[in-house]
Amino acid sequence: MTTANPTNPILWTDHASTSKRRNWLARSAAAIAITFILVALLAPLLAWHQPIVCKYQGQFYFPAISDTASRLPLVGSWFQKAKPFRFPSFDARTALEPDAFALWPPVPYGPMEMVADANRPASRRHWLGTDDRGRDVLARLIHGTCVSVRVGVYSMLLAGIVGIIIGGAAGFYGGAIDWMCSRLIEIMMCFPAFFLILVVMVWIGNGVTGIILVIGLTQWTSIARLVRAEFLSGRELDFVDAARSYGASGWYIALRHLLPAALAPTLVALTFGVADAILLEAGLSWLGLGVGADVATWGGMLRDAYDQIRTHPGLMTAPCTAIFVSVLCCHILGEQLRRSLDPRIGFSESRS
Amino acid sequence: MNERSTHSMFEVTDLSVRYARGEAPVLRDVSLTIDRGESIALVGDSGCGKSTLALAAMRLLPKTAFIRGSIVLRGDNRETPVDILGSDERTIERVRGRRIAMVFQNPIGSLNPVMRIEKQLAEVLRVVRGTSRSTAKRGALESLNRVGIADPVRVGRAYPHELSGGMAQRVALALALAGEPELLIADEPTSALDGIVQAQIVELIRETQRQTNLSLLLITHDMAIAKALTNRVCVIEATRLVDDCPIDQLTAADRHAATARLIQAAEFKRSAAITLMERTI
Repeated sequence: MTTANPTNPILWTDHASTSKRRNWLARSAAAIAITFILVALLAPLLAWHQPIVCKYQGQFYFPAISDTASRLPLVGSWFQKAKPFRFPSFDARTALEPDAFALWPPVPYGPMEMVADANRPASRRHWLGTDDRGRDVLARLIHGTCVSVRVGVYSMLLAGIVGIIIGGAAGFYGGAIDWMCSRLIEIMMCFPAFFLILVVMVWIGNGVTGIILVIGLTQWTSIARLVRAEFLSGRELDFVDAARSYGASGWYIALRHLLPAALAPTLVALTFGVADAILLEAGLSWLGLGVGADVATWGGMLRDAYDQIRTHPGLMTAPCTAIFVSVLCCHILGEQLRRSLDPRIGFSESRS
Repeated sequence: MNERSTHSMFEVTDLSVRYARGEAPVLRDVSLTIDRGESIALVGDSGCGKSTLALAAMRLLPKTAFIRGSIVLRGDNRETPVDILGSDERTIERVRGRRIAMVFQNPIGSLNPVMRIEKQLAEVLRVVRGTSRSTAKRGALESLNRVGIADPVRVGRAYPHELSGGMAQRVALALALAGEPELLIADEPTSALDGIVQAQIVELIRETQRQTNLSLLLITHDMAIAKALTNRVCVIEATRLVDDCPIDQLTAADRHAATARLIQAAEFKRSAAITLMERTI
């Protein structure tokens, strides 16, 4: 039951040192991932064209906070409707008197705001400089995180749901349903996904929702195959027959006995899938088929920087680093999850 | 036998099973009946089709199998008979666990490896008895107690791999008996266990039968276990039912050759055990 044997110093230290090293990797990856998510959720508190707190005509307003709240997933629409605190209807940059009280976010610029001359190098006012239209690069980077995280998480949620339903049905029922689902999976896999997504994006136009739908509805095939395999092998286990013999229904067995076993590999595949989705979104935005020019995205920033790669090559670094770090993060997390969730990777292999 | 079958609670008539079209049948025209409270043993070599009969009786055979004949569960005279092979899935789900239950050969394999024992028991109680979530846990510990587990709290919190084979078979029995079935099908319940534990499980089944008027269909290849638990033995040899006799007439001269061989095998095993014991002591 215990994994390490403290009475055997060699075995124990060996295992401890490698697991410590891996822990360090996994923990930093998790920390970075959580940072990305927090940045995405709280973007207007970090970079916005409105102050966090300000006094306007004798009253206090919280423009950045209310904008953050109304953009939150699930509860955002409630904030927009219920308006628990005053939502400002003024532009703080022009409306506020110079001596009025205002607390600005650390980066006091919006992602689309043209605030300075074009292509300024990094300075105290613009920590990462400005781009070809005089927009603050750091502000754009922060708001690009929102798009990447949203696309990554939501498209994989969608892919997971579709994959579990189709793969689960195929593996659980077998027979004709399995045949149909498997052929559907194969047909989907035969299409070169990126070109399919390109065509669909040209057809439905720009927009985050469109990207999420398109990526989610094309990337579910690997999940479906995993879930199908788990259900197929799980169905043959003795305890599934036993559960039937106690009177359990098919649904109960699928949800209670088969699905939990399939969730672990699904979670791993979804974590890798988030990286793919971020890359796909960046690629689409780079081609101008992504979220649209009115929203800051990493891919869009890369596109803008690419136009002047000869004169200002430094502009590429920020979005490139963001994409690289987020994708690497997902891969490390996925690998770590795979190792910790896969019971077949035992003590000996995890040491290698 | 015909006269008896009119009162029987469980009736298999001319059952033939083949797993795929064109394959040789695993069972050929098998008929047998079980009365209320009666225990019968189905004895035969490995691969003769006895487990298939058990699975057919629970309708757990794969959907692709070809099945002919009929299996009818009559139960009391008050209840309407259930046609096991012909009814829809929902009816069968209500029969499984509540009226016919089954114990499998591999006790640890028949438990979900990632669920605690008490959780599995509680969920089965909720399914078959409709026990509420809050009382199901107490019911789980009670049913563990009933199958002779002295420390139900500790065992309830364990995972299947932490149990010994005998303990796991007791748990499996508790799961099977949770719905207070009329008929228990035990498919080689002791084959995976060592001698002493075998005796304990046999004693436990016998005790349960005494208390609840449970009918038993015991599937085994061991004539000794059959003798200990049942009062009638049906012998299957190569897909056919060849012999059906009360336990006290087993040694009669005109028994089928297969019966005689199985008795011989049991006697050989016993004498081998005795020899071994004499040598080691």
